[in-house]
Amino acid sequence: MRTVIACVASVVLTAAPVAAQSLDLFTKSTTEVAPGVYSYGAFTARSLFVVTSDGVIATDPVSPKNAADMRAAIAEVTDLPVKYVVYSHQHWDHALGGQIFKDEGATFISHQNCITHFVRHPNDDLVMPDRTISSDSELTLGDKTLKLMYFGPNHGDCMLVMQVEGTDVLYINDLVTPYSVGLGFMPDYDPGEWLRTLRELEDMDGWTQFVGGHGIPVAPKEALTQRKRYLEALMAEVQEAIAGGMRLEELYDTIELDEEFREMRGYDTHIRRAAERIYHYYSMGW
Amino acid sequence: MKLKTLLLSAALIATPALAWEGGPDRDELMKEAPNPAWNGFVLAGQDTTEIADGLYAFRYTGTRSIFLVTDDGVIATDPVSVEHARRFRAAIAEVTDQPVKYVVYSHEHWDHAIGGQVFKDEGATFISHENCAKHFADLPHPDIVMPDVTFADDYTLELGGRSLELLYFGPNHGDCMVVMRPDPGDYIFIVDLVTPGGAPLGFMPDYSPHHYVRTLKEIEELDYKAIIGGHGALVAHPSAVTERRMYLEALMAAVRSARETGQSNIRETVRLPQYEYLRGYEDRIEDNVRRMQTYYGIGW
Repeated sequence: MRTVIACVASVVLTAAPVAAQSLDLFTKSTTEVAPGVYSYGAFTARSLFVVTSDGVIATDPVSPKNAADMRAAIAEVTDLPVKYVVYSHQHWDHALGGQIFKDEGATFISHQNCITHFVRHPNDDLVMPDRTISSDSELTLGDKTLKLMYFGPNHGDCMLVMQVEGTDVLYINDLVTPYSVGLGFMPDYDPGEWLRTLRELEDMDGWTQFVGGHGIPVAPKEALTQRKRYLEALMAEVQEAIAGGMRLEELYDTIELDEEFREMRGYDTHIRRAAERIYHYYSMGW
Repeated sequence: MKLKTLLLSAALIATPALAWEGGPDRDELMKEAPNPAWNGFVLAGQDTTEIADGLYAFRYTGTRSIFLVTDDGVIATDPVSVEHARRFRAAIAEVTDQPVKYVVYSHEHWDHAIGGQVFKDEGATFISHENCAKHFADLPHPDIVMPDVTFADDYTLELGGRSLELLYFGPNHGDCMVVMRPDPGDYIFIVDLVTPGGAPLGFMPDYSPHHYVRTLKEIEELDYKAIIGGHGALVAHPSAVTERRMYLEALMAAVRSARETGQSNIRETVRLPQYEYLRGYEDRIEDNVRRMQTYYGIGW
């Protein structure tokens, strides 16, 4: 794995074990995770870009500042123009800031369901997609093909998982943040569909590692399995509590999962709210 | 406006059918916001109240449905739960021998939509906005009866010379919510969008905040004299809608301004002291703030 440092020369990322990697939240860096496939960003937000023989396919611009930094990072790797920007999903903390790529003529792509959200919730820093897809698709540019995979509603209802053909790396935004429990209130998640999606990804062959929308530059497939097992454990625990007649307030105060899950990042901060979220899922179908 | 109170007759004939709910007097409830009387509702047991000619509210514990009795049958609304629906059906039978011909869903959430089978069994036709049907299909529940008739915009249901207007305002709390206006139009039945005198649920599930505010503004423009709530006070002055709308606007403005000025620790610092009187404020304000942080942060 080759690592290109874009912003802070003193930071060196290596393929060291997770525990040994820095948890510096804000230092952005570029990591080549497969030939021509780069993980770019910081712990706070991360995107993928793909350098092909005919130009670059970028993904989530995140914000105007991040997009400018990412554009500079791309220029460190290649002089080719950015031809496409693909949105993983509609949430502003990933989709904003694309204008710098629009200005150089990039074509923006998303799942069609993102459009409804972008229209309902306009944002001045959002570039509207030029093309939309409604099911699994392939985007070919030069010598590379980026597969865009749609699993239905899960985190929002326009989430795409991506993979450059011939590589063993997926780009999975927000559905898994490696070794973390994620946000407790689970914005916009349909928990049942989310679990289904994670199971489908786990069962899918042809990949061994992934780039997440937050967190470390690249993580092994087992981090997805861990998130899936955490979600299963959480949902089972809450379902059992409801079946036993436990009130939400009591569950909120007493929820505790097995030790393997308590060691996940963010557990102490988010577990009560996550239990509350799942409680509502089972009591009102939301 | 005339509200019948049948408490006396109910006591005399010793059947628990029709009584003005054991909460505050109707004149108190019809005063403008802020109105402490809206906090005086009853949560125990059940009751049935005739609110206008042929228009009844049925409450079991904390949730309310309305029904409209006509010469050709009954229009019922949210069955709520299997137990609620069973009691609801019995309460309707206390008032009329007419069959329930229609059941109308206010929206898709299970805490209002479950339990309709008792009405289906007598042949009722179920009606909802078309988006509810998508939710029901996406996340099936064994105790939810699928709608037979769906509509895409406003819809007027007519039966026996009466009517129930179903007003659709677009996405707000979920995306298939209807506000119901029975004929004659002095009342509107509002579920979840307004709980008179209360702060909204902290996490505001499934709410689109700016569409929620827009919807409340559109409801304020309607011509009616009182709301019937799906939770909380039986009836309330229309200013309950305005109070909720102004609370949301104040909340959104405060969070937005705190974000724009780079204020840290917003969750602990943003408060709305002018609304401390709202029921549930203390418990919910932090989650309300957090919800708007999410809204302004990720557009959800």
